[in-house]
Parts: sequence; structure tokens; C-alpha cells
Amino acid sequence: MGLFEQIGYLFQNKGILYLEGIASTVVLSVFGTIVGLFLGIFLALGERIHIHSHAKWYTKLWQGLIKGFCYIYSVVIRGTPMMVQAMIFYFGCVALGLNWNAFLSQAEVFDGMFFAGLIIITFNTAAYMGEIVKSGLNGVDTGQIEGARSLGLSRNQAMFSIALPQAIKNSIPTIGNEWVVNIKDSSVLNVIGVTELYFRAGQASNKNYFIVATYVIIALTYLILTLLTNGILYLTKIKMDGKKLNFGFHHFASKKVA
Amino acid sequence: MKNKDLFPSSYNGPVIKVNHLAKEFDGVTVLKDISFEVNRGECLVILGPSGSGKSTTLRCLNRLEKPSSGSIIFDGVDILKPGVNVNLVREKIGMVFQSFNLFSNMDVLANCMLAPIKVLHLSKQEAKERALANLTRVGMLEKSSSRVNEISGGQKQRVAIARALCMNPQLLLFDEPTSALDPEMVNEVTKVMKELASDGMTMVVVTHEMGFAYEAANQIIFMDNGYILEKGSADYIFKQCQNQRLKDFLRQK
Repeated sequence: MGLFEQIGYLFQNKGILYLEGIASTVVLSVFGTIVGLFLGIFLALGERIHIHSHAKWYTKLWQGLIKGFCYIYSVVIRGTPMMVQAMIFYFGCVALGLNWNAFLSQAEVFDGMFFAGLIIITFNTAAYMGEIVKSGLNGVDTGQIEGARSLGLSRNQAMFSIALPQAIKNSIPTIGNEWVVNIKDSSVLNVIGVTELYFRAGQASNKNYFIVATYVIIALTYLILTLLTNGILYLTKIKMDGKKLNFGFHHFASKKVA
Repeated sequence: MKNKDLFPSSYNGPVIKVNHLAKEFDGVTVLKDISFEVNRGECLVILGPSGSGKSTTLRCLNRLEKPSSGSIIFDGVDILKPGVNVNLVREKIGMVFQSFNLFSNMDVLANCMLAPIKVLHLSKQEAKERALANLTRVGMLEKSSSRVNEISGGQKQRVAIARALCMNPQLLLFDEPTSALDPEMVNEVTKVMKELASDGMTMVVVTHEMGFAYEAANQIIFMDNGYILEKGSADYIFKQCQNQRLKDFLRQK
């Protein structure tokens, strides 16, 4: 059989595996990105806690502990591969007596290992999102904060009304990039048996040995997913900028600048 | 603590009184011995070359900068005393910046409504009425639903003035409000400022607009190198004063 015939054969006979893989990968990446972003915001804010010099000693202590935790969390999580984190977390929990199959054991795709994968990708993403939000906050013009503080807004009010919304809006491209990375990197979760797209590819090429055909399909599927993601992000950005939709056509319609 | 607990309602002295103010930045003394007072309804203009400490003085008045020594009595309270809630002070002191500092994630109306809602706890409806009234006052009503990046510099500065007015401040600070504007836009902003001054708003204005200073100021301070060199009425500063440094400064303008 030629490559195209192999691809046709796989679609006909293993299509359901791909669909299950896509479902798993999409849920992992979307959940991980969105919840990871929220956790990342907490990490960024935690690391930026302002410790007043005249605060009580115990206030200083817990504020210092939160700051330190957020910093160390970010360094450790970003400094180790997610595949390794997955192994340690999953089997660590097993060693501590946790039965992963107690969660969602009846489900076909979303089983206990999927649940573990969800936790891992979320907490991994949080560290990166924390850095993204932090650099977004650094990019907010200090004049914006001074404007807010000059009106009597407190440090926290200025943060939540002015700095954070602007930081997140400016970080949308980077946050979106993290989503794209998550779609692809969720594949490493196959080491703990999460039945995402890459794992399903292994099952699909099992016995028939249509390796190239299988992974061409997988590659194209990842590509389509990431392109769709980019499209969604583009629409989000347009919406946030409050502009009308155009798909680049204005370049042709607008007058030449003399 | 509430605002009325910090500021005594019976106070009747100058709105702001600055005594021997000094400010050091990393060992460099930028303000050396600044003393002045502004009475209710007065407009004080601070003139001086760049780097003379005008803006720093102004920023000390609402504690955007923390002075090293001296005292600032605002509405009868020394706002440099430890433990004074600076947010309560800033509720009553508005500020207009050279670079406008309008909130870029909001439209014009929301810019004016944010602080009255968050800080004064007005209802949305009250805040909106107040915002629309103040936007009308500066002639920006028809732009109230515009985004901040859709309006011109002069318009931005008028909105910034309206935003500060929405807090009903006792004192309004202007930090070179027209320095980022082209000459045509300068006039629309100084016109609003002159109206405010004649309506009896207490103002401290750092500016290079000599026309505004001459027309609107009740009192002018000329600063150089961290000191107040001359202090007096507009007529004294522009016509009678024989200080050579001041004459040189005014000639170059």
C-alpha cells in the first residue's frame, strides 16, 4: 500500500482513536491554559507582594513566605521537564497510596490518568503564566499607576483595576503561545498513560506498522489544532481592541500613503 | 479610618502650608528649603528651569514622592506624619500630569467614574452624573464614549482635568499640563485652567506657560537649584523684580 492508501485505511479503521485523542488533547490544553493562567496570576501577584516596613512581624513573615514560595515554585517548575514532573507526581501519589482509578474510572477517555495529566499540565502552565503576567505587569506604564494612586486608589485597587487588566491584555499573544505550546507538549503526558493524541497514534499504528502514515496524520492534526487556536486568539485580540473584523483586506482597500 | 476622622471640619487656615521641605534622592539633594502656603481659592504658579525641583515639589504635595524632612500641612493635618493614610489625603488632592495618564483600558467616561466609585463609594448612577457634569465643564461631553487613544492630546488633558474634578478635590495640582502639547492644543487646556482658577478652585501649577502664569496666578514662585529664589505677585515677578537669575530665565522664554 502507498502512503495515501495507508492514510485512508487508518481513517477508516482507526478514526475513533484519533477523535478520542483530539478530545483528550483539546481538553488538556484548554483547561491547563485557562486554569494555569489564573494560578499564574496568583503567582505573579504573590511574588509582587509589597511588604510594608512598619507592618507587624507575623505579617512580614507570611508575606515573605508567600513571596518565597512563588519564586521557588516558578524556578523549580520551569527548570524541570514536564515529562519528569509527570512521572514524579503520578507515581509519587501512587507510592503514597493514592488510587488514580478512583477518579473517573468508568470513563473511556477521561480516566484517572487523564485526571493526573490535567493536574500536571495545569500546575506546569501556572509557572510559565506567572512569568508572563509578571513581565506584563512590568510593561505597564508607571504613569498609569500614578494616575490611579493620585486619585486615592489603594495599591491593590490600582493593581486590580488598572495594572492587571492592561498587563493581561498586552500579554494575550504570549498567553496564546502558551496554549499552542500546551497542545503540543501535552503529548509528553503519554508517559503516564494519558490517552491524548500522541498516545492514540501509538495504538493506531500498532500491528499494521503504518508508522509514517500514522504520524503524518498526527502532525497534520496538531497543525490544524494550533492554527485554529491562532485564529481564536486573533479574534480575541480584535474583540479586545474594540475594532471591526477584517482579515487583512484593508491593505488592498485603503489608499496608498503618499 | 474615614476621611472625616483624619481632617477636622472646623479648619479654616491655608489649604496647604509647606514648611522647610527638603528631598534627597540617593544622596543628591533636589529640594533644599521650600516653604510656601496657598489659601483657599488661590492659584499658585511655580516657575523655574528644568531640574530646579518644581515637579518634585509638586509630587511631594500628594506624597507621590516622600520628602526627607520638613512638614506639609494640608487642610490642617501634617500629611508627612507617620501613620497618615496617604489614600485619604489623595482623595482630596487632584493631580493632572504632563503625560495625561488616562487609563488606557477604559473609555473617557469610565476614566472619570472609576475613582468616585472605588474610593468615594458613589453609586454608578451618581458617579456617571458627576462625570458627565465635569466632562461638560471641560467641553468634552460629546467624547464621553470615546476610547482614550481616539482623542487628541489637548482633549486627553481636558479629560484628565475632569477626572480629577470628579473627586471634588480641595486642591488641584498641575504638573506641566501643557508641555506635551502643540501650541494650538495648549490654548484649549489653559482656557479650562483659567476658568477653574476664576471659579475659585485652589490650584498649584507647574508650567512654562508665562501667559497663563501672568493672567491666572495669585502668587508665583521662581525656583532654581532646589531653592525658592523669588516669591510674589505676577506683577512683581514679571515686571518689578530685579533678580538677575529670574530676568535671564524670563528673557529666554
